[in-house]
Amino acid sequence: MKKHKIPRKYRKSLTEKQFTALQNKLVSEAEKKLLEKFYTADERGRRVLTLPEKTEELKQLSSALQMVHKTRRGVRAGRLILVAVIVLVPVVFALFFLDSLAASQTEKILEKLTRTDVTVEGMDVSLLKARVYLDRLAFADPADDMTDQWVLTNLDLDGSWRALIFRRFVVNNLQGTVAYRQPRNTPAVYPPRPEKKEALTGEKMQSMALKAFEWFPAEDLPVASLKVSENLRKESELLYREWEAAFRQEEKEINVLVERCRKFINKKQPDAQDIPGWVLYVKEGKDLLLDLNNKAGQVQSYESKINESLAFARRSMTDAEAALREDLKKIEDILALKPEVMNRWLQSALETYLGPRVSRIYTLVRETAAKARKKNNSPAKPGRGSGEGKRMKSGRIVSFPVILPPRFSISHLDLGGEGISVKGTHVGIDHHLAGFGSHLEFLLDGAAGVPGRIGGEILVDERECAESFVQGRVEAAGWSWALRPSDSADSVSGKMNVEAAFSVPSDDRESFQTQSSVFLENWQKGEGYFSFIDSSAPRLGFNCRVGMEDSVPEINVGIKREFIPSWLSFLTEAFLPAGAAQARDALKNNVQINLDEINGLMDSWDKGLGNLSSLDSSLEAVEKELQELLANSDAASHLPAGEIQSVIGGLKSLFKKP
Amino acid sequence: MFVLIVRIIAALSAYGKPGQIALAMAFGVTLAVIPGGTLLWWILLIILMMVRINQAALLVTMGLGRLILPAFADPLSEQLGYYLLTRPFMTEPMTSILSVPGLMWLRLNDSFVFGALVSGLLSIPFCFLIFRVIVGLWRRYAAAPFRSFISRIGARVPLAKRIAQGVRAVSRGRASL
Repeated sequence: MKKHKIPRKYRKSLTEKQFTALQNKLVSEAEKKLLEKFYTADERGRRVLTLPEKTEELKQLSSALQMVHKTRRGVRAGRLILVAVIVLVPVVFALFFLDSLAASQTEKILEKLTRTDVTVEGMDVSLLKARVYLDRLAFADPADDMTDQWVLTNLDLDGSWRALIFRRFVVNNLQGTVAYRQPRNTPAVYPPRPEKKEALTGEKMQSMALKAFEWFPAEDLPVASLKVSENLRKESELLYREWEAAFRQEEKEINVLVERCRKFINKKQPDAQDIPGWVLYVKEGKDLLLDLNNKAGQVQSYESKINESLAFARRSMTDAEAALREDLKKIEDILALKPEVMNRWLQSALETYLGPRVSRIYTLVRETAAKARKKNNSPAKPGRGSGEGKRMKSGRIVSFPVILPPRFSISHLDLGGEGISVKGTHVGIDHHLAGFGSHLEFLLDGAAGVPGRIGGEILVDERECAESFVQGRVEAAGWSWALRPSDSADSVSGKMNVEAAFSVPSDDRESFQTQSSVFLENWQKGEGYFSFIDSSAPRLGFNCRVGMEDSVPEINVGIKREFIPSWLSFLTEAFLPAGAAQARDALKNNVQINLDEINGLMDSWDKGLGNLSSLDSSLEAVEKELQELLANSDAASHLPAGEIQSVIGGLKSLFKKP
Repeated sequence: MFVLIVRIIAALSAYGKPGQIALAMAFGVTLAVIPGGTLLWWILLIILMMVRINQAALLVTMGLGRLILPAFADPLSEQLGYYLLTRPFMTEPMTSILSVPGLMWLRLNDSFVFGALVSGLLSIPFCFLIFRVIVGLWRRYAAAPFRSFISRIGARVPLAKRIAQGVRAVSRGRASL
């Protein structure tokens, strides 16, 4: 009978209304009839249950009434209790074992994140107060198992439940003492390292390798000097070839003439009585003299041509050298790097000095920022799921003037230790908090593995009247740096000072400006390509301006103007005279070859000038000899001729007719 | 598919008043309209699971609704939500609501969530009336013929037999799925 139990509610007498409602809940006509049969009306008009005698009928009735009973309204107490138990058991468990659980979980999470041994001691979690206190939190040195790299003691973190209820994370107070490189009592037990997925090899590694000349985009390499020198060399060569061809011809003719003169001089003079012979001799001599005069004039014209060509070559040299100087200055003075080159350089530097993990994080952040910029640039649309027909994930967020805690904030931050100081108020991230100011200042002086001193200050002012939404400065001094690409023998190193300031204006929070000065000094002796650098190298300063305006990034890097004269003189003294070829190789041009060829042409011209002088002098000597000879010949021929004429005149007078 | 068919028939033929089933189905539509995965949706689901309601009808309607409704209801809900949230008269009450600790997690300042909640709540009376009529009509005209039809063909068609067995099992054994 117990199996076919009728619910207590339906064992009582029912009013007609209750009975009708009960009937309506049944879905089968047979069940309704069964109900009608066993619920009979009494004298008061109430329906009273009469239990069926047949087991089959009792079974059917009880089953139907049990099913109806199950569909009653109200709270399902059993389920409610179950949910309460499911929720409360972990809470109660956590209250008793929270400290040890939190400590072990913190250790596990931090070890996973930092991949080193983490020690958590004296953890006290006050759940209701949202407060966590740690006696000691130590991160082991990955390179030395008997040293803790970072040790935080008396760490007190006071959170806020109220903020968490508003989907915010606020730390009211965070303070503690920081120490760097402290000895351990027991050796560190490092967590197992995950296997490397992919080694950076081949093209990928090559593309990321840091090389000095990869800084400079090839298309921006100045080639004006190369073009000027090439043109000048070609023009000079053409001039020289023309001159040389003409000069060779002329030289031959002059030599023939000189030979003719020598022959004439050495030629036996006609007899004193051989008047026609003398006439011919003198005429030949005078012709030779005339030819000599002509040739001497031509030699003069060649000389003036040579002088013109030399002047042209000298001007060419001056122009080519000026163009070369200008190109070198362009490279050094206006070093405008493109953002992608800068990114590549930065990624490569991160890869080299901070490891592939940091490099990957940087890439991820850059890609996310690029996507966010792209998203910001595209017109606002409600978020959709991937693919057509899928549900929307979110709509448009409408802002209301709700005074909320900041998204993430540390109201008071005070971490200090030997050479370390980090202090701040209202340090956090929030774009919806009006009239609030954050201030953070930090200083690391020779601690925490920092090879020098670094300090800075960041101010965030959310007020609309504020000049800048975010402004700050970072100063670093005495930082050692070295440029030593892994696949190259070239290296240069020294000390570096950095002064940087950045700001985000209040009226346009999507744009920002960063102005920084980097000073390189205390140079060490360079190797390979940088061998010209030594301790005597002067201080070198760079201006670096990074900005973002209208979602367009702008990166400018240039040498500070005041450092150019000292470096030009240093380069002139140390680099240019000794390594002019290196500079020209760096320019990847043939300026030097062109200049050498022009120099060679000038030498040839000089030789040609010498030849001309010797020709000229030989012509002068021959002419002199010839003139002397002709003068003597005139005396010899004129006198007898006069006498002969006077004799002939006398003889004529004798034969004159009376 | 088989389970779905069984549940639909079982829901329509379940014990309880037709109004109860219609109300459960109306709530199912509300849960279908509100985006799943939000805290608001989970809270409503847990509350509805805690109370005595025809859960088979609720879950089946919600499942069907989530298959059919998003294509045209989501953009309309979002637009309705944005329209309402940007009305000046909404600023004060919404500011008060969002200032209450914990309510920020409900994402009521999201136009889609808010629009879906409003349209879901507004649809309850209409859906209730429509489903009440459908369930009444089913029980009056279709339930008995359908059951006899299933019984008749059950011997010949194994699937029909299985459906009939399933409906019986669900209706009798697990009326409140």
